[in-house]
Amino acid sequence: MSGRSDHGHDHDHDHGHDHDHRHDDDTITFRVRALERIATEKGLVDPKALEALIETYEHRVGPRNGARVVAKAWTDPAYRELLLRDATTAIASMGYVGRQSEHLVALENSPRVHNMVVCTLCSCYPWAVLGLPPVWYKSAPYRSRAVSDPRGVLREFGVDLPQEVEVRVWDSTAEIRYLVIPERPAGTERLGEAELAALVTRDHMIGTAR
Amino acid sequence: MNRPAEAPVFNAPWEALAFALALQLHQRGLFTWTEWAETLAQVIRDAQAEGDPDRGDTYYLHWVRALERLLIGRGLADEQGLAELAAAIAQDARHHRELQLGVARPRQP
Repeated sequence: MSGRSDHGHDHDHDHGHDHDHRHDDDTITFRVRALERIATEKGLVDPKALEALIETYEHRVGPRNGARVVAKAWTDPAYRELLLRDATTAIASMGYVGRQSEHLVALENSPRVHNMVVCTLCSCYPWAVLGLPPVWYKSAPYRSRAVSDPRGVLREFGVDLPQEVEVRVWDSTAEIRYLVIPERPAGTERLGEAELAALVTRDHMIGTAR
Repeated sequence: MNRPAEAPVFNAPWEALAFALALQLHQRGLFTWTEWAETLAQVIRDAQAEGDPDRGDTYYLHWVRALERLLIGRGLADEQGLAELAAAIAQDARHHRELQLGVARPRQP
């Protein structure tokens, strides 16, 4: 993989490119609308509920949820203990609930251990705390290389991990998702939960940042 | 600890619609999430076998294919019916656009 700057286009940006793209987009749009119509006619979906779901995932669910969880774990020892023991319950107590009845497991980084999360088969991801995954997380290169060469992948993300730090790679499934709890940075003793949460990025919680 | 710029969650309205369809069909009990993940993983393997470099930008195409497979597998649709319905919706959309542009007359009932 070529890191997060890769925008995934190999073809030339020549004349006709935009037009071709629009044509493809139209074709796929009508395929999806055919699926929607069938599901609606069979009474399996409600267009209003579909809109509400899209609104939720576009605007309400995202890595800020996870960042609040991490900041709380950094400042509240009882919450940290609960998060490490039963992350599903711990995030539910903050109002973050998964939609596929999956279990969440929190993985704590330490000076000697770095955790990194992948889904080798598709794109399983802790939606409730991170929202939907970035494009690179769903790409074949990340999915295979996170397992075969995690240190190399981390270097591409700008993380040069010392040899003495052990890398643990966790493969997500439909049933189990993972959230990495990064180490609290030094010199942040005086910061409150909201300020701490602002320091936590999506990549920290996937484990592609340290 | 710098924060990277966030890309849009969905790159086109159809991606959002496909996403929401899968989620709601699951919530309504048409398939378990494990079945969904297995179907999606198989679609991805098939696409790779057919030459898709699978860099993440074709992800929602896989998602649509997985939806089609599951609906067909449940007997709610068939390949040809889906193609015909998509073509009919495309035709309606084109007609509607032409009406707005004033180049077509309203169809007679």
